[in-house]
Amino acid sequence: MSALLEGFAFKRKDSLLHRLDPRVKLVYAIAMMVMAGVHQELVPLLILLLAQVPLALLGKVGRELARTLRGALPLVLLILATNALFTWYAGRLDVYALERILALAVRFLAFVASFSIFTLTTSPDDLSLALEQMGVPYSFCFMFRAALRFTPVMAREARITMDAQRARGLELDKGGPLARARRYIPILVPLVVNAIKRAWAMAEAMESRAWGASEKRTSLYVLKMGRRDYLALLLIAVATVAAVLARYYLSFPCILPYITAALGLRP
Amino acid sequence: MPIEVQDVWYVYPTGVEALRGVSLTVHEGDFVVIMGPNGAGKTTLVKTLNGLLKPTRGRVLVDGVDTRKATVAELARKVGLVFQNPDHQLFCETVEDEIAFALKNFGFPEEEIEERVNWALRTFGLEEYRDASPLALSGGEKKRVALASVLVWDPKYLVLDEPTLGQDHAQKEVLRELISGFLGERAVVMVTHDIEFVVDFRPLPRVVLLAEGKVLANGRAEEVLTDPELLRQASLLRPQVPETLYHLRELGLPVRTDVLDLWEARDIILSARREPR
Amino acid sequence: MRESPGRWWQMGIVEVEDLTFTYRGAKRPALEHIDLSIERGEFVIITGPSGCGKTTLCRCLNGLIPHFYPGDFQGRVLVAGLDTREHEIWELAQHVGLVFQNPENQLFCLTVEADVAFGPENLGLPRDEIWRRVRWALHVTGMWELRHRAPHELSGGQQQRAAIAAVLAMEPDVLVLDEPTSFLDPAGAADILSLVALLNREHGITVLLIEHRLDLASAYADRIVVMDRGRVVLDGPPEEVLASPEAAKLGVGIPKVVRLYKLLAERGLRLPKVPLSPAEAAKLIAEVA
Repeated sequence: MSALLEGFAFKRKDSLLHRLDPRVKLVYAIAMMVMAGVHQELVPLLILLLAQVPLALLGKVGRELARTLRGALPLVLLILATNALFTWYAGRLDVYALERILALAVRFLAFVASFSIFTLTTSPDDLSLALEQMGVPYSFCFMFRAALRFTPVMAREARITMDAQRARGLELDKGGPLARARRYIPILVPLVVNAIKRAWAMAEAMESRAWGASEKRTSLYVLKMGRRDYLALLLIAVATVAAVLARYYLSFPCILPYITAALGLRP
Repeated sequence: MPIEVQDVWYVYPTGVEALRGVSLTVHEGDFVVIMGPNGAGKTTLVKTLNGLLKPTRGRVLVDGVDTRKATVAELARKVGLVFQNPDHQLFCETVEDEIAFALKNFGFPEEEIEERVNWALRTFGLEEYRDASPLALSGGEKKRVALASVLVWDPKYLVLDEPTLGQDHAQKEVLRELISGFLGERAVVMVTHDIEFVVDFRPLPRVVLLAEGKVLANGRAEEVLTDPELLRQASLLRPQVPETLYHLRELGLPVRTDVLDLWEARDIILSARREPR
Repeated sequence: MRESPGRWWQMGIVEVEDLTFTYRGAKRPALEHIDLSIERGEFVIITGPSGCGKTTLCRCLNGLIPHFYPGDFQGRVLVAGLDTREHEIWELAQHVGLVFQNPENQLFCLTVEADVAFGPENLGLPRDEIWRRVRWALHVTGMWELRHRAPHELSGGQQQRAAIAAVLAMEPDVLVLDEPTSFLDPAGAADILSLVALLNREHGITVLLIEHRLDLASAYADRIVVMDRGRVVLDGPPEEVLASPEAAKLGVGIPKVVRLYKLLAERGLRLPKVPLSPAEAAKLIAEVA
């Protein structure tokens, strides 16, 4: 599970994708949802999934993407298994149904991949700036940034608190689940209290630096779309239109029957 | 039986080498002060004393027991570690509960818990706060509650990490008196930057200077804390008394500079003055 | 109520007149009848035992009291001529910058540069003006090279310098620092204090420093104000205040060199003035010897 989460953490690198405007990347992630969403068949969805691999390489995040997809496998297997079970129970499990179920799994992976590429190549700073410029109220962007800023701090405090309480004889690994949960109270209380104190101290500091002075807040950093960004947007638009059209005007063969036949398995 | 730190190396998972071959012995009744810049490994070192951190190389023996072979709870019975910031550990509804917390963890019987808690409240001047919330107390009071909640189980070795952080002068004097009261009966190991606080203890402690994970010096305070070169390497400020004597010697007066005591310095200055030039 | 201090150009940059403040729900006032006048360009240390009201006084200077902390406010506080009751915190923040004890909680952005820009951004200033201030604040605090670092990658001393830079970007007349060296090691503390002294000396910024570490800070100050239980009990040049018997009785951390001065004086060796540093003490002793 942590491998899955890690696959979404921003990696500071210099690549083509890193240099694109975060809004473009967000549009891409949304576009992929549309593209993958309209298709039901395995072949086009596989194409959409595999098309993201060169994209990941372009962003120099190929390895991280692989890790994300690997981390998503348990969920994928769950989707496959539950759907297969229900279909079998309804007596409709044949090679075509199996293909449709696989298609669902591939679609899920396509979503994960696109979103992962987006977050891997976009710094949280840029992301919140993008949100700000897209009209999200500054308070929300600030909360987002502050949460990111203080997460490592709180993680460190949690470790210190655990050490301090263990040094007073608290044994966290003993006992059944309920007893163990209660043993975490000495960890959680200081954490929560400190979080509240921190929020108060931050509020004082913010006020002291003119928070709320003006309705019209300026920003030092401004995201400007460049030629490359518009080009990328164009490509995304074309791809999306093509994908949607393909759904309605092209028909794709089912490949699973051929594969199973080639492998000598019965349908 | 002492605490023995034998050529201990500690490497954090991130690869940072916090301790690089530290050796140290703390006997019963010793008073040892560990000083050095931030990042020298002081806090890492004290965490190896009660098993919170196990050495990557080398070993730590507490009364003959290797810390790698014991749990933190077992070691904590002997080695009481008081952390820097009381806000990272206070959580109970009343001061009484807070102090009793460790005793309950260690499985002390009820009557003994009550007896010890009363003792702690008295010794640390906290009786009026028995039913108060520890979270609502002032900085100095919280420090005393934190100290009380460790001393209540009577550890043989008391380890204090930066006890004077955020305290004003008067509060530091209170801490000094409390700590002095525990010297002799048990060993006290104190990690601190506060050099003027250290030099006012009588008797003066043994001082261990740590820098970049290594022991720079391990000796009497009068020798270690008056050596300008050692202090520079340990990023410590030079205490005002020897510093004044040092400048006086530079100006030609025949004075000793390995003196930390204010009154002794006064006497030296007065007698140097009467010396014929 | 005291009469206001004469003509406007004779007014100090900070004028506290008969200030008495009680926090809402508190039984006793935190500040009682405080009268204080700070001239432009002064370096004033405010000290006293815990609970004496130093932090409360700080909060009164930039409007946190009474706007953020409601309570019973009597008397008045004028900052650059503005009455703190009649102006919003964000207005006062452009004259009085407040730096708090814990640097960690004053840096909320993901880079130092962004934090320094935070204040001017709030004011809605044009971008090149923001840039000018950010550049200046980062350079004057020596944080220019570290401007792209995240706060958690910095040492305590660096974080506090970043916090000071963030406040300087507001271009205040007065810098109020509430025990800025509390969480720092000696090297970090000395560093911050010399930065603050530089800002005072070379940039004319009035400094109000709340500090316990008088051995480090008193050499920089023009004046020391000692508070106790909500009142001002001593106010004068460091040499006078530190050598006074009242200061010793209050449990203020008198630097050892001052105590040495007194011990020598008791035995008949009177130095021409009260030393504030070991070097000065040695020089004075050598002169008299």
